[in-house]
Amino acid sequence: MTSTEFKNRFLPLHKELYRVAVRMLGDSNEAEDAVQNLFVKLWERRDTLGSIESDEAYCRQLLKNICIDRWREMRRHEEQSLDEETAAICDETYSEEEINDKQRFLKAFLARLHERQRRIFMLRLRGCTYDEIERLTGLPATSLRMTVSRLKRELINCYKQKNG
Amino acid sequence: MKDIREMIDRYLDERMSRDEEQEFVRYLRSQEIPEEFRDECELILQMATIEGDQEPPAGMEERLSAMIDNLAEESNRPAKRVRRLELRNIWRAAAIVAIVAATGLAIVQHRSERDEAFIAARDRDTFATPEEALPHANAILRNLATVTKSTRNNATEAGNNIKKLSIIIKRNQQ
Repeated sequence: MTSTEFKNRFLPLHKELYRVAVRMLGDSNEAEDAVQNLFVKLWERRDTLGSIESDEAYCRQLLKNICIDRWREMRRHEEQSLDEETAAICDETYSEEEINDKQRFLKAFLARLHERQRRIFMLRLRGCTYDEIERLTGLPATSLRMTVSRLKRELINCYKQKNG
Repeated sequence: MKDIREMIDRYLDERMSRDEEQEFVRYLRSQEIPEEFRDECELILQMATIEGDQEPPAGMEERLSAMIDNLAEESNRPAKRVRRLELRNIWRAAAIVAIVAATGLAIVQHRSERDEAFIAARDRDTFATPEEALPHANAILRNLATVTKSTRNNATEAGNNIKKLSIIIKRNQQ
């Protein structure tokens, strides 16, 4: 398969695949990396792709495996529990612009979260169910629910504190 | 719509279903919110906007396209001629291999020592009956599986990183 044939066949799927990756990883940069990794894998297998019934289903499955591997890798490096990850987010400095604009404040708040907390929070805000997040992260749904609830309250309290 | 305070608390406590959340957000968008709840409700609306934020970043298609071109170019390139190693380089290579192997053994040893069953099994090699040997053999096999899996994962990860790195280097050379 030439690169042109490869591109014509798989590049049109990249938007949908990106959305899948964002929903599974909760981070836009990681999602783009995951889609890139997927295309590298597809290219390596280009000579055996002729027998695939559905390109989209095949790509989704490969991408899903890449995303699950990424979560596993993160889990290996995360020794703290989610509760321990709750740093004093509100003690950090927020700029005037961030405090005066709720959209910026939300972004600044998210940026100050621990990576795993932020991803879980984003997965939930992007509409994943707790069962889906549990399957991805390997963390129990009850603990995930408590974390998200705590972060929502922390966001509101922090905003009020900064504007108090 | 029930008392707004109660609805906000249910949203924050994650006690709403997805449908209820969406209904609540629609309600907030369509109503004049009392001053005392305005900050909370506006932040909730900001959180709700994240759900729709799933469009690919600008230029992603072009970046993927360039990456495929690089991969194609790389696979069309003839394999490089293997250079003969000079004697002093062989010694250098041997030294590096020895250091890596020693480090690897140290890591394996360190990890293994955390497993008491493995230590017990490692320190015995004679048993009266097969039944007595079985748990020790299992402990050693478990340890071997863990180390092998970890090594395989690290190798895969390293391979992927090297691929990415070569793509980045090529892109910057162009």
